[in-house]
Amino acid sequence: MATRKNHNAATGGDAPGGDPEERFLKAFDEYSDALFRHATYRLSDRERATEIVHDTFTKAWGYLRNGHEIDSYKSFLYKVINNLIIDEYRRRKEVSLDKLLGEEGTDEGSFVELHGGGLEELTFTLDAERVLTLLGTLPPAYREVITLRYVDGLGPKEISDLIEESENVVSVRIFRGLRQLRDTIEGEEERARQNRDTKWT
Amino acid sequence: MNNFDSDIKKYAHKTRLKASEKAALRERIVSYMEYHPLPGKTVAVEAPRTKVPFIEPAVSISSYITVPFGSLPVRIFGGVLVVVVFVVIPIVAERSVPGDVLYLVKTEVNEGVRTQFANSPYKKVALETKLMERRIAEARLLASEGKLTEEVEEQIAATVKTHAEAVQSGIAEIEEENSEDAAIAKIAFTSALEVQSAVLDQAVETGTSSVATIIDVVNVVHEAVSADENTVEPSFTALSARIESETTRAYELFETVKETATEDEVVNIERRLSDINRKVNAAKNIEQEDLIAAQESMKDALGLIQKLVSFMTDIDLRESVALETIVPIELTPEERIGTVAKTLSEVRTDLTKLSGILPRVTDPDVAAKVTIGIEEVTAFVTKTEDAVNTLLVAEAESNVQIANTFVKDLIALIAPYVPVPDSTGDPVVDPIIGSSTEPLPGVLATTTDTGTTTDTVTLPVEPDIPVTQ
Repeated sequence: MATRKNHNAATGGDAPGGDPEERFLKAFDEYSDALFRHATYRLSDRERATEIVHDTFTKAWGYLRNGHEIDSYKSFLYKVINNLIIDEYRRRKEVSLDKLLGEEGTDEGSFVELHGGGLEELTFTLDAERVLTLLGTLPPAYREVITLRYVDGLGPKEISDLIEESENVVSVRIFRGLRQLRDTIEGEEERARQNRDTKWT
Repeated sequence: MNNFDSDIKKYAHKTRLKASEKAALRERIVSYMEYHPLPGKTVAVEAPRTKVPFIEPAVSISSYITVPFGSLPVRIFGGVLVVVVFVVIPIVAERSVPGDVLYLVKTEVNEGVRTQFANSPYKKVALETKLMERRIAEARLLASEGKLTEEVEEQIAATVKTHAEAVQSGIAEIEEENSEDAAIAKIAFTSALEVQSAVLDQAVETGTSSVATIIDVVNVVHEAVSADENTVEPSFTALSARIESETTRAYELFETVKETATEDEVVNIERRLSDINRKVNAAKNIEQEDLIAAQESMKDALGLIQKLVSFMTDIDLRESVALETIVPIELTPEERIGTVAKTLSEVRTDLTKLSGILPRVTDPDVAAKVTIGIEEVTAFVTKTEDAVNTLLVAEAESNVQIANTFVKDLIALIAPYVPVPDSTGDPVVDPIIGSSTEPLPGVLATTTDTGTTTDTVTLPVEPDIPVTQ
């Protein structure tokens, strides 16, 4: 087995072939920050996010020990971390993703929500930094897709494969999540304006 | 892509692992990989950072082969002498104890060399802890042979104190760089002191010489370390990381110990490992709700795993003290419920006895106290049953303990009214209560070898207390 001194991989984490340990550690070097960032925005807890990232890699290592191969570390690791985060939500007794879907309906979404125009218009009105600070206020299902889309930079198809929902559902959730954020921001601004007006009268 | 996409990515990327966090996480992952190798690979376990490598005397023998006189026999003699002086003697000296000729070689030469090579505070702490444990082991050996004189005991106690102070100074150095590491080093040192304290107590029981002075030194150091309020509390993450590496080490050691240990020892160690895992999982489950309790639990778990590792690595320790003394079993919730059920059954039996004897109580005050007492005990029995049914184990234990203490007090109160056995020595069988093999307190009761008589009354069958899964 490679000793600690030899743990500088010559091949990329997602390149086929090469020593499995070196590939694994290369994947750690390449994706640990992104996974940490993802977990932090999903859980709003930095310490817990670190543990989740650790568990993600130990699970991946366990998968290799069981004789499997990992072709693409990126998609594999995101899949594992997503499942761990869902387990975390359940442990915290947050609203289940299924229950959330049940409440809002599983419809495919309106024309405006699905066909991009509404989304484009919505993002023009949003302050990116503010959105990030308010991610934690979103329900888990919306937080999931918005984090994957904008923090992790995954495309709708990648997100769809990861969370095992159709691309339509992914797009609808992104739209609704951003809309909810916009409403939250506007609500806060309105309250701030009212407080100022009250002070001056 | 409009500005929103690029802006959000720009801000989001400010959230990342710090360099130190990433390095620590990588270290944990690599450690995990080494202790869980891929199939077909051998494990190259790098010694944990706290383990001190054995340092041979740093002398090159070949530089001494050439002897001034030049003749072959002298050269051979010189070579053999050098090997004896620089290799054999230090090795033999390792087994010496105070009073032996080679003891100074052991402490001044061998250990002196090792101390010089402990060039980091972490290594210093580990080495000085090891040396302290050695001194105590030497004292125990001498005590068991009746050779530990007062003078030697005082010398060893002084040396133990010196090594303990060196550990504390090492921990203070670590604290300057990393307060969490220092807190964790302190837990390790406290565990080592507790193990030595338990071992010394055992030596007091079995030895023929006193080790009281050494016990005092260990206790004073233990109190000083425990009472130090300046230590930063290690974070949950730091504790988790350390527990993981210690647990991995423990499991690896266990695989080795299994080859030579008895079946009982294997079962006992396995049980402790399972208890510690359960404790850690319970701490992780309550981390969000009660971080302080979770951290305390993790600190306990770390101390226990370190003691278990000491037990597995130190043959002398295994032979000197039972595992239960240093790592007591922690009952599972099911076992605790079982104990509660057993006590509850005893309480019900006692309540039945009380009800049977109550009509005989002639003192109205005593009768009133017993009547009220029976009602209160019954209330605690009901609370215990409710707690068991809702799996509130701690509450069930507390209530059954109160009920048991109370009913025992009532039994003592009515003792004067319990029939005294007749002069033949046969136990008097009360038609209501039947007979018991257990003498009631304050009563001159006897039991027969044949047990109960045929006049016993069948008591009501106690329902099994369900243990909800």
